[in-house]
Amino acid sequence: MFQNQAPQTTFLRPSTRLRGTGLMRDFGSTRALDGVDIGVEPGEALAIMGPSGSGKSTLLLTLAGIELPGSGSVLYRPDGAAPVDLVSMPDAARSRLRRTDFGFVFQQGLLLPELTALENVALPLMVAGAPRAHAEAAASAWLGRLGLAGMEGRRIGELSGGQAQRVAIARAQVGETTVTFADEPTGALDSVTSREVMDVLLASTVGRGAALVVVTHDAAVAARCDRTLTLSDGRISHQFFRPQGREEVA
Amino acid sequence: MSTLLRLTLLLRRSGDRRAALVGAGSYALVTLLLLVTLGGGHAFLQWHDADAGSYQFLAGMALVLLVVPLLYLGAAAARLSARAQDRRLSTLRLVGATGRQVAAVTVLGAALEAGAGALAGTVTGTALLPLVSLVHFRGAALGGAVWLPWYGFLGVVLAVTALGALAATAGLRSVVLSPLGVRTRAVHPVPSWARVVVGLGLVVLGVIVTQSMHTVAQVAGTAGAILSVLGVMMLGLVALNALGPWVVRRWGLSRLRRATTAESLLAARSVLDDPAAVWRQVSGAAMAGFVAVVGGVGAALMSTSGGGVQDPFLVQLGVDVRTGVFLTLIIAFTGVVCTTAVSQAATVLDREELTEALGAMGTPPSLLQRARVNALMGPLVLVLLVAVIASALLVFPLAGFAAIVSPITLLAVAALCFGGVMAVRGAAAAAGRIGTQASRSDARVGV
Repeated sequence: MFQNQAPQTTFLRPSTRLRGTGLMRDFGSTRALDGVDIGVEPGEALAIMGPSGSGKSTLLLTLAGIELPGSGSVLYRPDGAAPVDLVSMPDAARSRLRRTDFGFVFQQGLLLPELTALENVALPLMVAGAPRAHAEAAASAWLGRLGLAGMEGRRIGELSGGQAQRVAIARAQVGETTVTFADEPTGALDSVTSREVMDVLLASTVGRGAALVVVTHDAAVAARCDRTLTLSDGRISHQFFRPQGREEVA
Repeated sequence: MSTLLRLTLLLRRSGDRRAALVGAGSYALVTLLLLVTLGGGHAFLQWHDADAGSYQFLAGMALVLLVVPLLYLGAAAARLSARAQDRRLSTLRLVGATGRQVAAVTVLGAALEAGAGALAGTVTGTALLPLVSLVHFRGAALGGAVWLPWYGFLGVVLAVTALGALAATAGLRSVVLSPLGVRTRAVHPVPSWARVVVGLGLVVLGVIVTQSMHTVAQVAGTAGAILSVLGVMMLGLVALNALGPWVVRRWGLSRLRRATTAESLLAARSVLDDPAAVWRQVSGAAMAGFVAVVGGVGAALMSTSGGGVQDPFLVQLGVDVRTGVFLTLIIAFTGVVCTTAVSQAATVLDREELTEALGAMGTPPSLLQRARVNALMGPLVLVLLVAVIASALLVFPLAGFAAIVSPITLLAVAALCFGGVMAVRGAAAAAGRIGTQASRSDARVGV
């Protein structure tokens, strides 16, 4: 089912949403990224795999503009605008971009425990300056879309792991973001809940034409994506395409 | 025991020095404040004339007023201590140490930190006591009487060390030491209506006693009236502690309904998450406000005859009560500032991972910082105002009369309160930075 291809620089088409070129990053004497070239297309689900310490989280953080590479560039193409280089742009502009264009889902959810599910999802819009009523209406719609209607007023501690992760996914999508970065989004979940969360994650991102970049140890999660990169010692060692499309759950 | 001690020392050596310094510094300040307060009380105890009893009683009141906020400070320092050693303590749990052993290491560590702080506070206190000896009471400087005997100093050091251990034990009840990390317990009880009933009942009782003051003075004389005023003060303080968490929660609910920005929403939710904890941080200011009004009004009235013949004892007592009120306010607000710094630093460490994640998502750290400071300052100003208004009502119409006959005293008291509030704000902002820097010291994004 999978095609195994040699590492290569691909996805350099004009439509490419995000492109990292020649990414290098050292932590002390450890080389986390060693000349990585990578592109992500709109509507594409990309899985990044590799053993612990291979550099996959660093790559995700670098593509999202959270970590800066030692050298190399990360070009991002917003809708209807010229590409911008995340590496050279000021920190405040990079933060603004992450707030408006990127969504994030982490393994632990990292939701504010004192807020309700609705308020957690509405928060990014309110931080961006949206009125509370508008932000909560959008948040409510997303929660409903992800199967959490009726749970808007619950605190995070009152939700199951899978429900909390859906809230995190809703928070990542509420701003109609163009790229979602997910770091082990199913790492703390059982296999059934993990499949359900991936369904929701894929439907809410690539399902509406946005890109999804997932770091995972789980081959079942990677199998749900269009493409899988395997990192080893900071380099792309393998790349798998799924020409027939993503695996669907029976 | 020796294994626990070795482990404790090992953790202390490898631990976060910044957080440890904040903790030890807090205990040093507690020691210093205790030495100053006890020194004053000790000087009063050297008097044996007929009027000495009133002074000794007032000094005892001041001590009682200051001890509760100092206990809160100790508990906050213990919580910071546990948070600052988060990863080390959870590693101990991971390699098989029981929850009890880890708790023992934390308590022992807090006691060591408190002991070190107490020694530093004693050294600083020794340097400052000559200045305290210049303070005038009954028309003369306190002089060498402010020096406690050697066993007094030793007692203070031991008491602060024990306070650190006790506070750590109490503080640990609010955190979970698991192999996966240290986290604050998520479920906090909602303040009940019973508090309101008790608090309001005490206020009504206080008002009745105040209204009957004239009769009390006629029946029991001046001493009886003074005792009644002190009784009303005690009632007011107990009422404040009963009502405080409930009032803070009502404020949070009202702010939540009106919140239009992310910052105000976060601040309101943060208060509602644990109103009792917020109250503990600001209660010292409420008590200071109460003392400021009742003491300030008392001092203003005693130092004036109101047009009649002046009683020299009452005039002198008025001047001295004013000095005592100023000192109590300074000490109380210093305690609140310190509790704020420690509690806020612990909160920042508590939310280290979450704050980093929100920052990664593009939430400006300054927004979170403002929300955190507002979650403290709103309730602080609220409880200070409630305390001032409630205590003014208790001594009404004396408060209005005092404002006319001695406005300077009341203005000075108001200025001290304002300065205290500003200092708390500064401490909250600065502690956030300390906490952030401390958390960065061992934060590392995984490769």
